[in-house]
Parts: sequence; C-alpha cells; structure tokens
Amino acid sequence: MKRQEIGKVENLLAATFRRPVEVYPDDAWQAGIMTAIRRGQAAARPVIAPLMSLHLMWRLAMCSIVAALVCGAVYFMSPTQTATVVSGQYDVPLDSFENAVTVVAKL
Amino acid sequence: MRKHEDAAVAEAILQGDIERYAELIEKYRDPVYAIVARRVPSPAVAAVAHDVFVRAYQSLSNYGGDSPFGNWASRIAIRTCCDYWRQEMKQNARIVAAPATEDQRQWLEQAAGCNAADEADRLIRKKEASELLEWVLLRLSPEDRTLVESVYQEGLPLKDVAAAMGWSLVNTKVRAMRARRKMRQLLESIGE
Repeated sequence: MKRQEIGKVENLLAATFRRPVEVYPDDAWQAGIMTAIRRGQAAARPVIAPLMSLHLMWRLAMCSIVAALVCGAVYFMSPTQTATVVSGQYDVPLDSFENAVTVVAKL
Repeated sequence: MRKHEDAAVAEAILQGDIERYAELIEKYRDPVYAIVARRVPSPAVAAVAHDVFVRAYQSLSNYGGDSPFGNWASRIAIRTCCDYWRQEMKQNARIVAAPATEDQRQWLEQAAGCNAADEADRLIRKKEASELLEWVLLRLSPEDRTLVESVYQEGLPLKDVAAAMGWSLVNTKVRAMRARRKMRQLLESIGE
C-alpha cells in the first residue's frame, strides 16, 4: 500500500472516530454518581468513640494486663505438685513401675 | 488570573456542600460522556463515565479554577479511558491475536482507492470502518491508543494530551510519532 493510500485510510478512520456519538447519560446515571459520592463521604468521616468509653476501654485494658501478670506470677511461683497414688494396704507409693510390680506381687 | 465561575462551585463543594457537585455534573456530563463513548465499547461507557466524575470529585482540590471544570474533567476522562484499556488488555489478551476479517480487508482496499467525498462518507458509516479502527487500536498499547485517539483522531493539542497523561511535551511528541508509525505498519500489514 502506498504512503498516500495509507494517509487516506487514516483520514477515513479518523472520521469514523469523530462521528457523533448517539448515547447520552440519563438522570438515573447522574443520581448514581451522587449516591456514590455521598456514600464515599460518609465512609470517609472519622468515627470518634465517646470520651467515657475510651477511658473505660483503657482502664479495662490496664486491669487485664495487671490480672494477667498476677496470675502468671502465681502460676510460676507455686511449687509443682507430684501426684502420687498410694496403695492403702502396703503403703507403697505407686509412682513407678517397680513399685507397682511390688504391690501387685504382694497381692 | 481571573477564576472561572466553576471555581466558586468547586470551592463550595470542598467546604462541605457536596450536593452542589450535581451542578457540575449537569453542566459537563454530555461532553465528558461523548469523550468516553468514543473511546470505550458501548456497554462500558456508563460505568467509565461514572468513574470519571467520581475521580474528579476525589481530586477536586487539584482543580485550579483557571479553566472550566469540563476541561479539567476531560483530562481525567482521557486518563480513565486509558486505565480502562490497561485493565481490559490485561484480562483479554487473546482478543488482540484475532486476524483482520475479509470484510475489513475489502473495506481497507475501498478506502485506499476512494477519491469521491460521497464515497468517503458512505465508507465511514460502514460497520467495517469501526471494526477496523478497533482492530488497529487494540494492537497498540493503552498509552499509544490514547495518543492516537486524542491527537490524530480527535485533533486535541499535544500539550493537552501531555497534561492529561502527565508526560512532558517532548516525550508526548515522540510517543505520538511512534504510535502513528506503528498504526501505519498495522494498516500496511492488512493490505499486504
């Protein structure tokens, strides 16, 4: 295709592009934009909690931290209890396999 | 510089009277809608035009007020259409691979040999013309497409397109030249 012919095709395609557009927006479309904007505005508005609630939340948070510390300290400082089962008849603690065998052998 | 009358409306909106934005939409919706309708497929026009006005509202503080709001919104419309094609090409890369149809080739041959004005008028009304235009534009990058549509087809000044796309004037000139060359090569490839 010659350069001149390409130029002609380009001009025709440009004219095709410039043809008047026969679609126009309606009022519902415009209302949709305003709704989106109002919704966006409402979402962007900062939510401020009442002052009392903030104080209360802060106190509750501090109380839970203190309670957690106290409970943790009590738990780690209390001595470990070893569970022992004692046979009532022979007073031999059943805390090992050997003791258990001894008790059973004496039955 | 004297402020445009739209600047007062924009100022009121920025002060919190958002309902006044309806005035700006009412005033400029047709030209903005037309810009979008030329650039994106019919089913997407309403959604893209909606996006243009929402984006314009979100960046209203950047509207200087020296020119009509419509001029500023047109730049946003051009950018939004470019974004539409970026998104579209990411999702539908396969469309670009489709070859030109026999009808489109015939239209191209007729267009290349057309000399009479009434013949040209008949040719631009044929659906093959729009299809071929779309075929070529789909093979350009979204940025090149925006340039070709704006500069060579719509006849917008380069500086306006540069401002809309956020490019320097020199960069826009070079891009436009390359985009046009690519478009010519595409047309030649069909005609071979």
